[in-house]
Amino acid sequence: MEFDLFHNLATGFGAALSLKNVGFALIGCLLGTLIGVLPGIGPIPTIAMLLPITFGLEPLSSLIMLAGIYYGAQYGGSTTSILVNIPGEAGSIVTCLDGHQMARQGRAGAALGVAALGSFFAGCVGTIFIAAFGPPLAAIAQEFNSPDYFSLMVLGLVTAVILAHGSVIKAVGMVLVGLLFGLVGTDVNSGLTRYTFGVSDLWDGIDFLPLVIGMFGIVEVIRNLEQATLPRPQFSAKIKDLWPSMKDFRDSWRAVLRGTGLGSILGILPGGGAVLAAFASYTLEKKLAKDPSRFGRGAIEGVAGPESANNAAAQTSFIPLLTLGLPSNAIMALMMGAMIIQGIQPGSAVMTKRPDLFWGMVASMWIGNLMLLVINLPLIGLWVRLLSVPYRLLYPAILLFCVIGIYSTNTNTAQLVLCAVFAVFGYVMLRFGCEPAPLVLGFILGPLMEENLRRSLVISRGDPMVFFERPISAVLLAATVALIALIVLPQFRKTREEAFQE
Amino acid sequence: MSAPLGNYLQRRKHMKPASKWLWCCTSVAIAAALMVPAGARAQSYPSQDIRLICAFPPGSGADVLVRYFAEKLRPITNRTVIVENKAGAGGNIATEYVARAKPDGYTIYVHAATAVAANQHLFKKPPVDAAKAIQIAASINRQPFMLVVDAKSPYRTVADLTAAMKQKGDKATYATAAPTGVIMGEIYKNVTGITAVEVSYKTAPDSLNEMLGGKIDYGMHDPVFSLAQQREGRLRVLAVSTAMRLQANPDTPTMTESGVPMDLTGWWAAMLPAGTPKPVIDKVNQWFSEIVRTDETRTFLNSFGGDPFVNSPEAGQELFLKAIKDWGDFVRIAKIVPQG
Amino acid sequence: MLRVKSPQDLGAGLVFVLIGLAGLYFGSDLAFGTAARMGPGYFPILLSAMIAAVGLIVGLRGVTIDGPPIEPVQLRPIVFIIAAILIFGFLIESIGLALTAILLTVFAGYARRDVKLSETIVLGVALAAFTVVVFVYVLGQPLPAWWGR
Repeated sequence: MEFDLFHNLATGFGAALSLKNVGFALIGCLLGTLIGVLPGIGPIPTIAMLLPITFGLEPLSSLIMLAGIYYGAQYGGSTTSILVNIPGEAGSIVTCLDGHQMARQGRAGAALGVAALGSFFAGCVGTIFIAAFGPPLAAIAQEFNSPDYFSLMVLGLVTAVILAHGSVIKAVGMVLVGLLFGLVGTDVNSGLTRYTFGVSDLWDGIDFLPLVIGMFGIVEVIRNLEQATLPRPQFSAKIKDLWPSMKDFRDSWRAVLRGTGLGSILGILPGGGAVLAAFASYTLEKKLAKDPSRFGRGAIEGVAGPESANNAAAQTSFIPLLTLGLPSNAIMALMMGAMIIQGIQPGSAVMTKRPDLFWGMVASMWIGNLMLLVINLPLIGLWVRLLSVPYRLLYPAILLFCVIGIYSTNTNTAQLVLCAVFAVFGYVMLRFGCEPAPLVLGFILGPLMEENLRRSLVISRGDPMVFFERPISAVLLAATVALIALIVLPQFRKTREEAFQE
Repeated sequence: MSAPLGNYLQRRKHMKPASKWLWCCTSVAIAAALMVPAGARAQSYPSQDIRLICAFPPGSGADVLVRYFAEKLRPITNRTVIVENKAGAGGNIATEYVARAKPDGYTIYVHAATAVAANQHLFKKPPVDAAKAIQIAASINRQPFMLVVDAKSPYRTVADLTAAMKQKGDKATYATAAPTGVIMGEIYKNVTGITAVEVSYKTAPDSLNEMLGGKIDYGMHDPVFSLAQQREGRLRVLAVSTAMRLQANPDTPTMTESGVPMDLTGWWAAMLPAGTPKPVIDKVNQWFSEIVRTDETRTFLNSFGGDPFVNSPEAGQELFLKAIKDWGDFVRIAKIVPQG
Repeated sequence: MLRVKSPQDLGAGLVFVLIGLAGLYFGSDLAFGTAARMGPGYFPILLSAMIAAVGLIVGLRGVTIDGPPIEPVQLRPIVFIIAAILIFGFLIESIGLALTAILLTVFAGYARRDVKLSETIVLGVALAAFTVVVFVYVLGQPLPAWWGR
């Protein structure tokens, strides 16, 4: 078994390490980073835009380039999150929280560096996971039925509350509102539309991108413009400030390990698994930290953990696609489309009939991660320097890219109207002390939770015990209860202490 | 030419270097941009870029199909062919957009004509009257829905399944993920008298775990998913919903042969807004038919579980009108409540 | 009379209650079903009720526990930024990316108090040129670059 693994990887690397393919990996990574770094243009629009470039190439070369584009886009998205506080996808939201604060404190280089290195480490581990444990991990993912997904979503929603660093009750409120927004659209189980007010653009629900860009990106720009002086982040040209310090490394290596573990496991689960990875990692780091109040103010673990989790999940989310032929999220669906266009039917057949392709892809993932490091570490200086562009010139560009990003994905004016609506809503709520991050998590996980809850009850003919009888579901629910206890108990202790003092 | 420019720049000397540089660059850019022709209204078709409208998001199965045709159209038309995704409302957004587009042949809607037909009845207030607003230019393929069961199960024919489901009574469960599947399921139940409970999923792959885990007895799914899973050895296709067997999988019996008469055939088409001039329609038909007739396309379409399907625009339009009528019946049979 | 002790909490509570009530009202025509066989209205109604409840609790905090005041709202940034976005959205199909990019930049520029029109127009043209070249010509995105399509 060991021998097979090395033999296979050797085959893969042999195919992938040709000069031509390494070149494609480099180009893919570069293009992905350059487009992904534009604010508001996250991995999905980036990959969709650059997909046609890969068409004319041979299958393995095109997949290698595509993997490069994917990782480049992901890292570009992280770069934007850290530098301008605008996430391009769900996972980047968490990076904004502490990453941008670090940028404001002049530690953008450290944040970017830790993100890059953590991602690389996670990518290496993820690649090994795929190579060694691909099929068994896929088998575990296949065990997940509707009750298990429900319990996972519930657990995920509770982590959303921990995420917030403001008042808990308001975070709960935002999660619930997010859940409600997520229900807008057509109900799977009955086919009826909910809260669409007859607007056909809402039949399929509110799109993720306008909501996130509206509540995070646009609000960020508006708030910056409200300051008496436009933001001028401290920017130091000293090389040592462009790189994580020894202290940074010491603080973050544990977060990287934990994030990688979380991401590797959660990435395999279809539908929301990869999104959860970043949020869960952030929550974990906040809970384990000696001083949780640092989170939200530039705690490096808050960048290292989620970034590693994100990248690990990005790697392992390939497993269901490569071993079972099932895409686990929108990006994987894009990859699958690309493969089909190349004439490859993703599935276990690829492993046996075209091992060079399969193992070449696995090897290319690692190469893609390496390229990421090679390209981006030197670019850190460039990105940080971009910050020194006067904000009055920067923010219209940011706005334009956000708007283009939304419109290219779905050429519909309604999307931009929605974006504006959510910008106003996010602005108002922020004024009232309510953060948007819990709402977004509720928005993503809510519909999945409801769908799986109702489906579980239909299949079990109304028997609620199904959630406790299935082992996976029972474990997840127990973890949820434990997590709730962790949140609630300190509050009680605090009020008790306050009562004592009086 | 450069002297006035030089003077202009001199007058701008008081500007900061960054702004001056910006001025210079953008002046050049404007000059260059003005030389690009803006949407010329030419006499011969095609003289502009062509847009293929896809009603599904990028990367989806439908998107792959549309992009395939975009690739194949480029060399034939010698123009740039762009795919534009206008997802939403089960295809209504794209349909409405195409119906309102200029009937000049530069906006081609590649979608399942049967889905456009179905939407006329699945929604209380469909945005356009498809029969009047959409014109079929060329048909592309013909594909069935499929009845699938767990490969580990003992059912080898529809009759096996029916017998077992009759035994199970109310405890029988089946999965659907699309309106066609819902209708297929209802017809199956009506004809055989079984009382299985329907479980809806957003997409067919969502149902896989539960089908393999024994929680779901059978599923009515799209051919792409069904065939892919059959290839993987996870599911077994028992029958197809078309009236005739398909060349793509000639060994699979039809539901009609298996005792459940039905003809649920989905067919894809290249469609144009009504009112497009006849020569343009014929040209589009010529292009698509040419592409569909190749072996490469046949293999491609087969992998999607369908057969190539070539028709003249008139024959296609007739089939389209028939499909609209048929779907009125289907929706009634399946007791589907129109949305809206 | 109740004294407003925490304006932020009161505001948040109000919004939550409004959302909850709206959810209840607009979801009232959906079938509720039972716990065992939930209808499409089950979750929406339950959630709306919970949101309204949270709103009441937060509102209560607003009148009992002291909290930070609401920062004064500045209309200029938000009005102009939102206007910029909407202008882009409504005009892109008719007049194309090049012009809407300029319009967006100009409107966004006015979100600042110390805006210089000439500088903003230059920026707008530069951004228009950049985005048209990159997105329409290089990447072939389905955005109309010019008018008349």
